[in-house]
Amino acid sequence: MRAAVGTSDELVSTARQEQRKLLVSADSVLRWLMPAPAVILLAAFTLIPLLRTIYLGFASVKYGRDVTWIGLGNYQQLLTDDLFLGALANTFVFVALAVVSELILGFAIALLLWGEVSRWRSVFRTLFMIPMVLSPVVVGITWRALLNPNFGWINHLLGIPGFQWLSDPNRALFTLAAVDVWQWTPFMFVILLSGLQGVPADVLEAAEVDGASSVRRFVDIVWPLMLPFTIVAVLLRAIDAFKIFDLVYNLTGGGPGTATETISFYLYRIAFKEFDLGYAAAVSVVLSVIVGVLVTGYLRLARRLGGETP
Amino acid sequence: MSVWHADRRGVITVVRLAILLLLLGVTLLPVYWILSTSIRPDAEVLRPDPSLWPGLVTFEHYRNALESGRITFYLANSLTVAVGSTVLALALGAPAAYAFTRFRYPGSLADHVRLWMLSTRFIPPFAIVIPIFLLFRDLKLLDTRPGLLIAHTVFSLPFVLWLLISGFEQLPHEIEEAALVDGSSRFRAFLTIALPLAAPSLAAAAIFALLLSWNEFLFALLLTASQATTVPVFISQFVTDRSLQWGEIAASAAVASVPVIAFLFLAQRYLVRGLTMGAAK
Repeated sequence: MRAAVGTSDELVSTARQEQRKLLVSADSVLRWLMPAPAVILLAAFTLIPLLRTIYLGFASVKYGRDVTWIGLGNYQQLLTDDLFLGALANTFVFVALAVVSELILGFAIALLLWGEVSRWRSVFRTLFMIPMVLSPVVVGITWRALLNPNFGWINHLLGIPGFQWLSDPNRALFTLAAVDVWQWTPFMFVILLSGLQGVPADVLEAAEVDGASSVRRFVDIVWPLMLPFTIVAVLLRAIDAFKIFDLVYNLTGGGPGTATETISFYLYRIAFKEFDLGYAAAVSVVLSVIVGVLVTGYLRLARRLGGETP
Repeated sequence: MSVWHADRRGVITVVRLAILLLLLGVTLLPVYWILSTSIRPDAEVLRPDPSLWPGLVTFEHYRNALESGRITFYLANSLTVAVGSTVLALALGAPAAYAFTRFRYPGSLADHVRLWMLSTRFIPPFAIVIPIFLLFRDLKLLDTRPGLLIAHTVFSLPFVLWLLISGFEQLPHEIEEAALVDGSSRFRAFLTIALPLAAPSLAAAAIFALLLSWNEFLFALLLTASQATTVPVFISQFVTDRSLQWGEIAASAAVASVPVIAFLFLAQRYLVRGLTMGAAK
């Protein structure tokens, strides 16, 4: 093919055409070959396990080995399982408390860092991001020590010796949410700050010259432009908060009693402590459906609010 | 602008900085607790009137952790699994992401695959981990480094694909097409042109995959027992021991945290890029 180049224009153009045909035929193989390993790996370790979970949900699994088909038995048991319903309620309370606080705080920090203090912005941003790169295990045990009623720094600093943060069943879930807020507000804040940086400064200045108050400027200009970022940040945070396991395991262990038992921790207990894998599989299926319905509903609501859904 | 106006601005800036510094204090207090507890004697930690400054400075906790060989063993596991799963996720993810942005597929197959990637984030981890546990038991992969490495790759691959697809989408196609017309093969164009141009996205994806694996707890807890245990699982089990050796726990926490904090300072540009790319898409 290369030999054809330079002999005559016509030959060159036919050679190019030939070349293109070859390229296209090579593409028709490559387009399947290049994504194949990734797709196969993901299918083997997410899709097939998911199907197996659905199957196991209809079975009783003894000692993780003897699988007997019991139809809808697990699902019937689930309807009257107070521990399941309690864990579900705990999870919803936790998600609502944590995500709303993270949104408000994250927005506040992003607004505080926006504009005049810009010289400091990148240093501040990096320092504020530290909690989110730490392991939730480290976060859990560190806060456990900080909140210890006897030797913890928090009670000492606040001057409330003996205050029970984690062993009072009416308070522990709030404490868990507060620690989650400590770790994940940075996530909200990073996304919201990058959204704020896209708000046109000249429009804001023009509004200020026209006498619009800072509240007006926020409501009329900043908020509508920030809505898409807010919608995505809240969605991603809510999904992760709904799955929370590592912080519960290391901060409260689900206790006192089952006061901070979230749905993932409950699943961990029945699957890997009581080894009731069939029942755990049924709970996982119900959870997947709940998450799917909630995400779809949320996105529909977001679209109606007028945010450009990504 | 009147003098009063200028003054008001100054006051607002000071108030703003004061609030930011207060919030920063709350943000950094636990990090300071880890570092200071790791260098003071255990007796000092358990005092009911704790002092924020270490009275005595000691490195015995680090020495104990090192001499017992505990921390080095778990560090080796964590590093192998984190680096291995990151390399694997990039090696599998980059060609796939490139293909999805450059080739045409029947129907809207590429869109369906992307939706599938996104939906893996929504699935409760237990829906996956129970059958993977059973599968690994049958394949004798429980408590092995390759087993956990594969699990973490599966975990990070959707993120990596997501980031790389937006990365390759933003690259101009013209340079590759010019190379193709000049007789380069498609795969060569991918390797020598597209990949180097996508370096910032690759860096963001690599940082994400490394952090995910380094900090991952659930799979590491359930799929390992003693031989392939990673640092977070080790720290977690340390605390549930009856004797609370906070000094050595804090030293281990510091060993787990200092690298990621250093990493954050070195690579925050890419981390922010990855976070916002994941959000803006």
